[in-house]
Amino acid sequence: MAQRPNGVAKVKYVVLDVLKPHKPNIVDLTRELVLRLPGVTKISTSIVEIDQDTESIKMEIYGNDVKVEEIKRILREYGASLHSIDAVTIEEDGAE
Amino acid sequence: MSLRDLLKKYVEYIRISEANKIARRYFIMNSFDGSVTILGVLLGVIFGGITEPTQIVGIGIATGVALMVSGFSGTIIAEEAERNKDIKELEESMLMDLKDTVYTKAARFSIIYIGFINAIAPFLSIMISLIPLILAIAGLVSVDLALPATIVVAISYMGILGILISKITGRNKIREALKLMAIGIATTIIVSIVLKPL
Repeated sequence: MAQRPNGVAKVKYVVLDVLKPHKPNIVDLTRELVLRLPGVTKISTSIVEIDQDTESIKMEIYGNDVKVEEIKRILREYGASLHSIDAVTIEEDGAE
Repeated sequence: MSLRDLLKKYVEYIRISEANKIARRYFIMNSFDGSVTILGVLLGVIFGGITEPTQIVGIGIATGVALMVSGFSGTIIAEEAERNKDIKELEESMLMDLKDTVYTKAARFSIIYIGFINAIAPFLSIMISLIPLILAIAGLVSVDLALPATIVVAISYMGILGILISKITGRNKIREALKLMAIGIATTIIVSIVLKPL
């Protein structure tokens, strides 16, 4: 497969399915991610399902260089777990 | 980490663990305990013929310290059990280990925070009630005035707790204050009746 020289593929948009406890709430968790991830410019979070102890949420993350592993690490810190990556948009930067 | 960042972190822990809701309840309950306890102690020393303010303040401080230790240690034991149970249940729901997450750190911090509130609450109400006697030791008021004043201050502090309760419940301030003060007055009467024959 031919590869363009100097091309760097960066994640611009990703949709995550996350399971979390009720606390911290989605406002605090989303704010924390936006503040701690320099490659992220915007996150939209919505609740998909709630039960007694946990809630499933959908996070749509936009940015210049979204680092999914870093997001996973911060989610873990907040007691949340990444269930699946449901969609992703990757663009190539700096290709000749 | 700067002090400001540390405080910010602790505020976040309090918010995540909802510790303020529990701490508020314990503060009022244990402050009330402290006030009723000091009323009993004061009446006991008066009926026992002890009128020296230094002795009475000493007995009051000892009582306050004992309640502090009891409040702190009792809370640690009870809250630790509850929080560990909550974490275990959540781990089962999440199917993951929550050790080292902000959730567990917040739970651990809340135990100490609530324990501290539980310890300080009765001690504060006892020390506030002893103010007239402390002023008597300083020579600012007479002992004859200080002794009954201490009982009045203890009962009045119960009224202040009633006002605090009314802010939480939204009920009438004066009614809540009078309700708690009535308990203080009733305690004074009952203890006096019990001690008088002795």
